[in-house]
Amino acid sequence: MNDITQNLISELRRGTLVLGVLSQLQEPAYGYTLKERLTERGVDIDQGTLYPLLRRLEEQGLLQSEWSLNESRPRRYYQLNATGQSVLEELTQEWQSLVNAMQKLLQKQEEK
Amino acid sequence: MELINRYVYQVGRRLPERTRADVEQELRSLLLDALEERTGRAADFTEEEQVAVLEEFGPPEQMADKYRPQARYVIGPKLYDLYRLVVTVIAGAGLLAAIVLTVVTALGPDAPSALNLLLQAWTTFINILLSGIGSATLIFAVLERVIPEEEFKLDEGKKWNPHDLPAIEPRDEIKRGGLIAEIAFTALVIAALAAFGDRIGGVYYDGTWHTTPSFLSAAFFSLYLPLFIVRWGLTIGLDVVLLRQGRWQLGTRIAALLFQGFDIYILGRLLNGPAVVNPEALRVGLAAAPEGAEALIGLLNNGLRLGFLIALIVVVLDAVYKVYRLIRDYQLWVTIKPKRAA
Repeated sequence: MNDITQNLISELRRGTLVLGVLSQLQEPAYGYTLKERLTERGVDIDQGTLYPLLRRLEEQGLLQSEWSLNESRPRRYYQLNATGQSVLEELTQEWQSLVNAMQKLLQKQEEK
Repeated sequence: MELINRYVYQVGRRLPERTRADVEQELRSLLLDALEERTGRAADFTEEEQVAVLEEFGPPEQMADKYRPQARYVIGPKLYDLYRLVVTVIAGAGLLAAIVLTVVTALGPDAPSALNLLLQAWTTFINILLSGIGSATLIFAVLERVIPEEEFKLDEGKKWNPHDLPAIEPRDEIKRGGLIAEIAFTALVIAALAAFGDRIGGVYYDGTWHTTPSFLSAAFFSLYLPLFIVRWGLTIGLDVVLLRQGRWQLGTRIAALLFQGFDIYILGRLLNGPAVVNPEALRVGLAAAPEGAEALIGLLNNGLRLGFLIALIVVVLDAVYKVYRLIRDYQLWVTIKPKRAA
């Protein structure tokens, strides 16, 4: 795979990260478990990208977070708030419509 | 845990104070989670285990940059290190030029007074610094915007090594005992000078014991002592603020620098103004040897002026270095304004 293809794939994946992360935060999760969960489900994300992204989503008002002091070490748990939930639904609809449109485009490409 | 602590510190020092402690705590927790997952242990991680995890997290500069993605840059992280190097070279060249010019002028036939000489050196230095840094900033700001992202891979092929993480510099920590002692000592000196300054004299014997007038001149009490009292009062005020805050912060560092500017003013006045020593005290004390007394007066005055000049140079250089450290540590020239997300 050449550099150009690799860059385009990275760009494509980067665009889906926010949706992927939001989709896994209907229940509270802390950084490391969320990373594991995403990896298990086929979304490989750098730790150096994921953790700051959680902060950014919280600053944007889509997530709420809370320190849990009941474990071996303090951990910060993130979860969707009402705004985040609503944004997730809108993004999911958009994603579905994008997938449908892209499938049609790509099918036509194959049929040619 | 040394490498983990260093990493967290290096990320934290690049972040705004508002979020620093929280991000540091979370990052440490995440690093420990990753270490625990990798080793199956909750503690006693070897250096190599720490290195492996830190390599996954990436260089601290990049991590810090991702934690403040909304910041807008005049010069971003891609060019920051190179820019810093250029600015350091400009500052060094400016300092050298100012020193050379001052020495040449001082040795010339129309050498101005010491204070004017220093002012001239200072102006030369600031002129070179401002025009040099201004030009460099302009050039780098243009480069930042016109060169595509891919062209910036200046250190491509140079793999980040966690072993290279610098040791933690506890520069922000304060020593409470030292501050309390400084407050007590400064207050004592102010009180002693204000109350007994005019009685600091000597004794002499001419058949019976006598005391001389104060060694300190009238000008000391009317001109300099009020300046000292204000300056020491500021020191006490700053120490109290530091004790309350528990560590050095940007505001206290700037205040300390401004106070150092006041020191430069006081030293300039001491260098150029009336003598600190009261000649009468020596003339009375050494009445039996008037020539010796005059020689001693001259020696003391010249010695003190030389001392003030050396102190002035040291304080100016120290202030320049502190300005550089302040700009570097707080990255004042890079972040215009962290733009918070809506």
